[in-house]
Amino acid sequence: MTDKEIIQGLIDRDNDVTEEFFFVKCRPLFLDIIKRVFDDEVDYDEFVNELYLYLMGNDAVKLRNFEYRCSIYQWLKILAIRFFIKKRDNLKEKSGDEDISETSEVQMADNVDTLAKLDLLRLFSLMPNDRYGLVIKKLMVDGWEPEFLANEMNITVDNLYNIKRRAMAQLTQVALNDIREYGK
Amino acid sequence: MENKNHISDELLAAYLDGNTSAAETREILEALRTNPELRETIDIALKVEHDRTFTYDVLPMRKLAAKSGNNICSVLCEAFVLHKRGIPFNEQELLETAQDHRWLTPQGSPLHSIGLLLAHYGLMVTRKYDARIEDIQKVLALDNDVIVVVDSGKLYPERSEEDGEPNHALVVTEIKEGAQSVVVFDPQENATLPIPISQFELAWNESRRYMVRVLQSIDDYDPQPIQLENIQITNDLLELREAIAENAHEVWAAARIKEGWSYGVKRDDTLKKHPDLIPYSVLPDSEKEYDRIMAMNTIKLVKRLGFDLVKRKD
Repeated sequence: MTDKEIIQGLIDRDNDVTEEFFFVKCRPLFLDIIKRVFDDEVDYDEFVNELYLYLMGNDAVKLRNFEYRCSIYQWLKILAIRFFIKKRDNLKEKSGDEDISETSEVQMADNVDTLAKLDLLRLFSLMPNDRYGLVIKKLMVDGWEPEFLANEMNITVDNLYNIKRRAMAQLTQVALNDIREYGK
Repeated sequence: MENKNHISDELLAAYLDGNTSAAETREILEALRTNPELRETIDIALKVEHDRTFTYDVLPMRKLAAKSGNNICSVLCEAFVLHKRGIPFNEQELLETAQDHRWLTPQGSPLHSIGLLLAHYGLMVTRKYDARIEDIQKVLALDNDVIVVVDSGKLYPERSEEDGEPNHALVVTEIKEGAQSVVVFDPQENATLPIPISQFELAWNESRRYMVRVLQSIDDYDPQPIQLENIQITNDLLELREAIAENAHEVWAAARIKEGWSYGVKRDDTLKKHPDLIPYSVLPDSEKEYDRIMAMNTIKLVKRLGFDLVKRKD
């Protein structure tokens, strides 16, 4: 099934899609996230049911607003991580009545001036793998088309996407290290 | 619409997929400085394995194990096994046989073709995806041979040739005590090398832990069909299942009748009588179920191996 078919199936509350996709296929993903977020053992089924209700809340507005800028896998991963982090924090504060759904988005930095201080090119230069830095610079800063870059690098577009994903992970790691070293 | 002062789940996910603009990337990285929740989210997201079974639950049967000189690493692995078993062969003939059957293409060997040369020499070969280190240990304990496919970039990270593809065949010769390292024959190096187990597993993951087993004895045969439980079938394919099941029965019945079999209340191999030589519609449900399971598994296997079945609109 394509991502579009999955999203539509979930919106339509198609039993097969919901069961097979959300409750079966996603199980390893959700299990992994829950294990990483919670120190103690939790009731997996109860937590995932809550996540499902969150996803389907407001007539599935989250699904309806999905713009396909990313894979459904990556999106659900982020959505689930944020949901469970918030749930964990709420449990810690013993304030389980807080409305998780309204607080899961992250406030961005208010100080727009600081944006200018962040030098993407400098971060690229700190990346241990030059090839990764080159790939995201060409795609993101120079605006090269993936097909053109893949051709230039003599690799397939699928390979390029894999490299790009790993490059973003490395860039994030570099940024996090930079924050630890020089950040607030 | 998302409030533009917030980083939405989708924007963050698009960032991790590498689909953000330079400005959006800058915004997200800047937000990392000020927001510990965002840092934790990203930190966890990077640790959660990118699970290819999630959206693209496809086994890489057509990927090419290739990286070795002239893209012949899998042939050299099979030559290694023949040599170990004391079976005489000529390397040039091996190459020609593999090329003639298209088990070896100029770009390399499709994963599903690895081992066919050994079968050509009369050896018993089985294959398995999603294998574990313990599976290799079991096979080696029976003095059988194991060929695996890995991503050579992940096997040798210092060579910085990582491309996230299963692209290299190896023979596993030993799992060291305590499973600390895996000893492999690497045809590219023409040498036997120890590889740290974690590194080996990372590299092996890229082929969906594909393993070809070369058995010594029929007693070692342990059928392990490809796992299909998580393959989704849409409603139109369910209709196809019934058609395939019925036709499979027709094919079977036609072949039996051609061989001189006819209907009989009880099966009799001498008189060539069979109780199932009746129309599919009147078969007992238990027999129909057998055909349906076969049909369903065929459809699912086609999908799992990376092919799509698409219903024509007309």
